[in-house]
Amino acid sequence: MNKKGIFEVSIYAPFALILFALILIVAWFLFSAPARPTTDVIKSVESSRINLLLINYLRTPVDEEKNIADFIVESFKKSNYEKLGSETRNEFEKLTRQILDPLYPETMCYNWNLQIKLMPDDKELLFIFNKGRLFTPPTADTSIDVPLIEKPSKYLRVRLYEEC
Amino acid sequence: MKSKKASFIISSEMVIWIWRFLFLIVVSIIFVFILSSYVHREIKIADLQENILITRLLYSQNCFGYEDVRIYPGIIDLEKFNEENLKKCIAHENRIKFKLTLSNEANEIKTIKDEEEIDDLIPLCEIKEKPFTCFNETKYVLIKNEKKEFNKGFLNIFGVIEK
Repeated sequence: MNKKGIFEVSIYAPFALILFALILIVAWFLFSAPARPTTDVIKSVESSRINLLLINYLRTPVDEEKNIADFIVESFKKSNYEKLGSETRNEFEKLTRQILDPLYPETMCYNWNLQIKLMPDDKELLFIFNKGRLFTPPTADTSIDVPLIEKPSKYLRVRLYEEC
Repeated sequence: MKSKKASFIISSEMVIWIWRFLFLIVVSIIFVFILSSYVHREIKIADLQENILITRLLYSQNCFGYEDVRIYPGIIDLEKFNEENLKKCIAHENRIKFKLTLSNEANEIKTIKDEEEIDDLIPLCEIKEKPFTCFNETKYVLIKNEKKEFNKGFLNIFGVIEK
């Protein structure tokens, strides 16, 4: 670049930058307002709701001495960790439906599944649902392991999951 | 007086500058569009706010949670379930109103609200454009009564949050 060129650039460059900034500001006011905002919905504490529901469900008293968790352990101990007899199963199902059905209206979260498995054998012992067995990934999912005093290496996994 | 050569240079320079301006404007608009798509991000926290408030009602010892040496989340102490405690619990939340109904399987046990006017707002929740958001949720809870017995219960939480 010759001397004349350097001189011209030094005169024009600051003005060009100011002009660019001015055009940017004007363009910002003119074109940024109609731009559709991206919407992020935060639902990070959703999981605590179903966790608390399952905890409360398991500690619900069945009679003066035992709660549902005790009832589950006792029932499966009697059935030698096989599927429950129809009478016990009906009683258990009735108890569960009294608690869970009112919480799952037709709108919003409508389908709940409750599964009890003997672990680590991964053997399904009981399955209760209100609308149908969920095969798609659930909206919320939680489980609690209930230890077995008689069989220290094994435990019952009570899993509650739902579709919204 | 300007010479013919000078006026030719000025006019040709002007034509070049018009193109430069147009180019600059187009670049600026593209730049603003790209940038604004990142800057204009709307974060909806209504669900989060609702969940945090409900969690506070159930978990906090200053609200209704039953406690002995520790707090039992999700167990409502019937002695603590009153309007005075509700007001204390949401004391710093001026934009929020609550109506809580505690019931067992058959009957309503108790209803509390922090402000009487919340009943007037219930029918307005159906309106689309309103200056507040409503939520209505039922939670399964255990109720600890005066005899220290635990019973099944449902807590219906109706809330209004001013926008």
